[in-house]
Amino acid sequence: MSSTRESRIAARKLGVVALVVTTLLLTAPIWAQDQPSPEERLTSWAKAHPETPLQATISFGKAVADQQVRSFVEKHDLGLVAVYTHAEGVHAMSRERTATDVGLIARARGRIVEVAEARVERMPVIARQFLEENPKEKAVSDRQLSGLGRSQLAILENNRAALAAYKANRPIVYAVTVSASVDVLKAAAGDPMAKSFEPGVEVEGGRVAVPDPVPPGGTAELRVPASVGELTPAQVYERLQELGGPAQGGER
Amino acid sequence: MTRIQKTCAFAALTLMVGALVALPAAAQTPKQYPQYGTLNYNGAHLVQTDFYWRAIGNWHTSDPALELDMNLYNVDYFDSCTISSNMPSWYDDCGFAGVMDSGYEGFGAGSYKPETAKTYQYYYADWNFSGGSGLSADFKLSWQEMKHTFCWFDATGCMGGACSSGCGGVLKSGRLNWGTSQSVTWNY
Repeated sequence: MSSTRESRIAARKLGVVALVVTTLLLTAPIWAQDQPSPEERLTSWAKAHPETPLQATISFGKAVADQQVRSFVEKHDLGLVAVYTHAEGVHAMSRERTATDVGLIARARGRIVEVAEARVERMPVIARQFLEENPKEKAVSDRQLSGLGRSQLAILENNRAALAAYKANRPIVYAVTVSASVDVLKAAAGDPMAKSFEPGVEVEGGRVAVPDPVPPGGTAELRVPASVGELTPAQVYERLQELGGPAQGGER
Repeated sequence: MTRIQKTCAFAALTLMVGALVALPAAAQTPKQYPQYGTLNYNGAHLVQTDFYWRAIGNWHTSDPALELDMNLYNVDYFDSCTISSNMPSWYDDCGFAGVMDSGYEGFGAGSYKPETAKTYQYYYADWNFSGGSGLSADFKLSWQEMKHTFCWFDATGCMGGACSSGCGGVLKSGRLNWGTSQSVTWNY
């Protein structure tokens, strides 16, 4: 008798828990409800689109040499959709709309070189604007303005260093987005080079959302080289003067 | 009110007005978009933007994303893009350019963590476009607050507009002409 009663109480408690869980699931945001694993995503895609290639992002855990990336892509016969690079705190991405050949690795490096060169050339113009708008006394005493000037120098130094790395053919590619059949993707995911494997998932409207890679070290903060970080506000201003030329009407 | 009281009231009013003039309201109001910036076009394939926030905030969601879209109203002008940026946890939306765009192609550069951006620090988003044809394209450099809408992880395909009002706008518009460099600044 007593055990029957305890069973009923337990069943009621279980029912209440189930109700709470169901309610939470129904009221949770849709994206929080649906978190299939990479394996589940592959299975789901193979079932829904057996003849269609799927995109996936593969990260290498660190920057690797172009030739290694090329070998990896060719070994698994992957279509190359996008290339992600990082060097000296500078992050870039290159993709082409239609071409998915392995030549994208070299083309990406060429385009990233152009971007960094243009960024390095751009910084003196920004420095000049800054000097024109902010007399030395104001820029040195105002913490915000000094920080603004310092960030210009950090961006310049980072891009200069990255440009040198690009031109020296140093390893810069840390991830790729590829396109292939589910079986091919599984094989690539098992490759020792693949440190992270994130296949896409079909979302509303038939679009495929492919997870973006996270660069080693992340991209949350602007990297401030020690040579810039240790400058006093007055030295920051002087460096900007050297970079952008003398202020027009700054000091009297 | 005595003469002294009137004088004090007038002085207080003068100080308040003076403070308002010295600190423009717009400059101090937190915004999702960078209040100051420049778009620089080299007359060929490169578009550079550099910008900063004076005050950042006013997000409509607890986990916002921010997208800066280079919308081109000549869909043939450029084909694909390479992007470099220093925005926090930045992403590119070039893979979806033209997919849900009507009459234009939006080449986006976004940030999954815009709320962590620092004020008075320069950020940049640079596009190196490839392919394309044509002599000119009208453009709008727009911003939009985004959120994870279609899935949970950080992927451009997961992102949708955070709201229908107050979550987007145009920073600068104009025309890109092939062979002509230009530089335009916004300051809100």
